[in-house]
Parts: sequence; C-alpha cells; structure tokens
Amino acid sequence: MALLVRVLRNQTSISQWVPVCSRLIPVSPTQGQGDRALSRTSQWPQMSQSRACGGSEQIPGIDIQLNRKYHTTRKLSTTKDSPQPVEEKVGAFTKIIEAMGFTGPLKYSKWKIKIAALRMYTSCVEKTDFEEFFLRCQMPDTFNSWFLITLLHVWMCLVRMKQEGRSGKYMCRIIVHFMWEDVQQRGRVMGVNPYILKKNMILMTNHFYAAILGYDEGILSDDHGLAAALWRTFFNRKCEDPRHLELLVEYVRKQIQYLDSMNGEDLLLTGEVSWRPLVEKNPQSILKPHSPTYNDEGL
Amino acid sequence: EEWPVDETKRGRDLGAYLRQRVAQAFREGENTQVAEPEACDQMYESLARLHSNYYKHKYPRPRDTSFSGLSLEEYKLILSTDTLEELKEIDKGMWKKLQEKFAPKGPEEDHKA
Repeated sequence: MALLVRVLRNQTSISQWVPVCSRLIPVSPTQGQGDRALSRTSQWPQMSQSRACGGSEQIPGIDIQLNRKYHTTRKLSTTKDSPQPVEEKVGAFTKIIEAMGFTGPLKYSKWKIKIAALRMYTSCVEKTDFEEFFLRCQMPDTFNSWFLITLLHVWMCLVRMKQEGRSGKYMCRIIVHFMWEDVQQRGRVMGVNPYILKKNMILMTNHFYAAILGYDEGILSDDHGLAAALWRTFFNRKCEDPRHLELLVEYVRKQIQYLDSMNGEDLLLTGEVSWRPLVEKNPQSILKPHSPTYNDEGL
Repeated sequence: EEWPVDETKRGRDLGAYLRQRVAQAFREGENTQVAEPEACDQMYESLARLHSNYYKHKYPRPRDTSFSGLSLEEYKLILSTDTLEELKEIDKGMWKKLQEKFAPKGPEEDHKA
C-alpha cells in the first residue's frame, strides 16, 4: 500500500514538469502531408484501439494489444535464432494468462518495476539536453521536436529492457504508458484545445508505431539502414547535411552499446539511465570490436 | 555514389534522395563551381563513413536485439512502400493478412537453411 502511495505521488509530479518547447506547431499539417510513411501506417493503431477498452483504459489497452501481437511473432523469431538466450521457464497457467494479454507473476514486484519504469522515463525527458539537439540537428524548438527526441530515447530504453525477459517486457509497457500520460499532460499545460490535442495524440501514436519499427530495422541493419531510418523519422526527410545524420547515427550506436553494458538487474530495479553526450571528443567504444555477424545477403 | 537504393521504400528512400541531391549540386558536371569546398569535403567524408559501416564496427553490441523482436527481413517487408500501401486499404483483418504473408515464407526459409 505504501508503494502504491509512492507511485501515485510520483505520477502527480508529472503534472509539475514544465514543457521544454516555447510554442506548439500543429503536428497535423506536417505529418499529414509530408510523411507518407505515417499515413500508410494509420490503420494499425486504429485496429488496436477498436479492440481495447474504452475511456481511460484506452492507452493501456493499446499496449496490451501491441504486446500480444509482437509476442506471437517473437515466438517465430526465437525458433529461428538459435543463439537466442534461453527464456525463463514458465508454467502452463502463466502462458495462458500471457496469451490473453495480461502479465503473469514476475520475479520482482510489479510496483518496484513501475517505479523503475517511471524513473527510466524521467531519465529520457530530464537528463536529455534538448537544446543541444535543437542546435546540432537544426531542429525547430517545437513540441514535435521534443516528442521526436523523447521518442528516440524511449525507444533505446525499450530495446534494452526487452533483453530482460518477461519482467523487461512488462517494464516496457509501463514506460510507454508513462510517455503518453506525459505527452497528454504537457499538451494540456500548454493550453492546447482538448479536441485538437486528441486528434494530435492519434497522429503521434501513429508516428510512434512507425518510428519504433523503423528504428528497430535500423539498429539491426548496417549504418545505411540506421541512417535511412533516422532520416525518415527523426529528421522527417528534411536533413540536408550528412554531417547531422552521421552525428545521430554515431549517437544511437554508442548509446545503445552503453545501455547494453549496464547491469540488467540494476535497470529493472532502479531504472537509472544515463546518456553519453551528443557531441563528444574522441568518443570511444566500450567493447573491443570483433568480427561483425551481420548477414547482408538482403542488400 | 555507391549508396544502395532500398527499393522496398520507394518514395521514402535516403539513397534515392542522396542521388538527387548530388545530381542537383553538381548540375554542371566536372565544371561545377563548389561554393564551400571544405563543407563539401566534410559532407563527403560523413557519407563515406556511413557507407563503410564505420560506427557499426566501432560500437559492437553483445546481442543484436530490437524492441519488437522481428527479423530484419520481416522489417523490410512490413516497412516497404508496397506493404504500407496495402495496409492503407485494409480496414479489418489487417493482422490476419500480414500473418498470411509470413506463412508462405516458412518453406522458403527451410529451403534456404
């Protein structure tokens, strides 16, 4: 019960955050017209939403639907990739529960994971130097830019926590939930009309799904693929300087490796994440390079 | 430029964009007067490093993981322009048709392995 109170208190603190951007440019005209990828993935979340519970349960419902679909697909990929780490053995009852979209018993308390997830999301929005991104990447100081930068960092956290088994999956869902709560709250604080805010939330949700898939493809690809994904999503195909693109590719590569080097148990229990600077003199790899195992038959 | 064009993302591909940019910047061919030679060289070096997979090698990962857990081929399929156009027209049964797309791949994968 005390933990629940702490969680609620932490959630309350979200509303006290001050938005980073100075003004809101409507997302609709930019995304609706410019980004073709966005409009073409518009059906996915709507399908999920139609199945989810209504009202305040909508966002968690989306996560549940999303989790179920990807969980199904993940079985296939697990079968293919033999080097995959052996997943923890779960009973038949837990499997049934998870198949229905709920979370079975975890090795840690759900409340601990929730607190850690909130702390991890806070790291994405508080420990990130947005001004540096605006300056270095030539991005306008807008709500959408804030969202793109936050989205990139949240995705990197999701990639890392996905490696921690079922507890990590649960934490991913909570992180995403907190992100949407925060986006909505920041919109309200800026005085956005509720109807417009709702419409833009749908657009941002579509953008979120498209970005997640694009970044996932990019991180598994070579630098070509990652550069293309960042160019399409992060820069919205408006980056004209390859140096900015290179800066982001290096940032993502070194950040993902840095997160990989953190202890999984610590991340699950504390959620403390730190970020290496965007611009760094002589950035060094933590691990010694070894022969790449990437198979580029597809290229 | 040797940058490959990703045909699955027609209309949204960085490679195609780069070719267009280079063609536009050097409109007069070899006689083109470069406005900022130094910046041009830096841009070229940036592209060269990305092309040679410099950062992928510099920051190796113990495990190549992603969030949604699909394979690289599956990403290319889902994110291809053709697939996205088809999805745009599908209102219901979207995931079923997607899975149908994956199902025929089974024997194909077995054949490769």
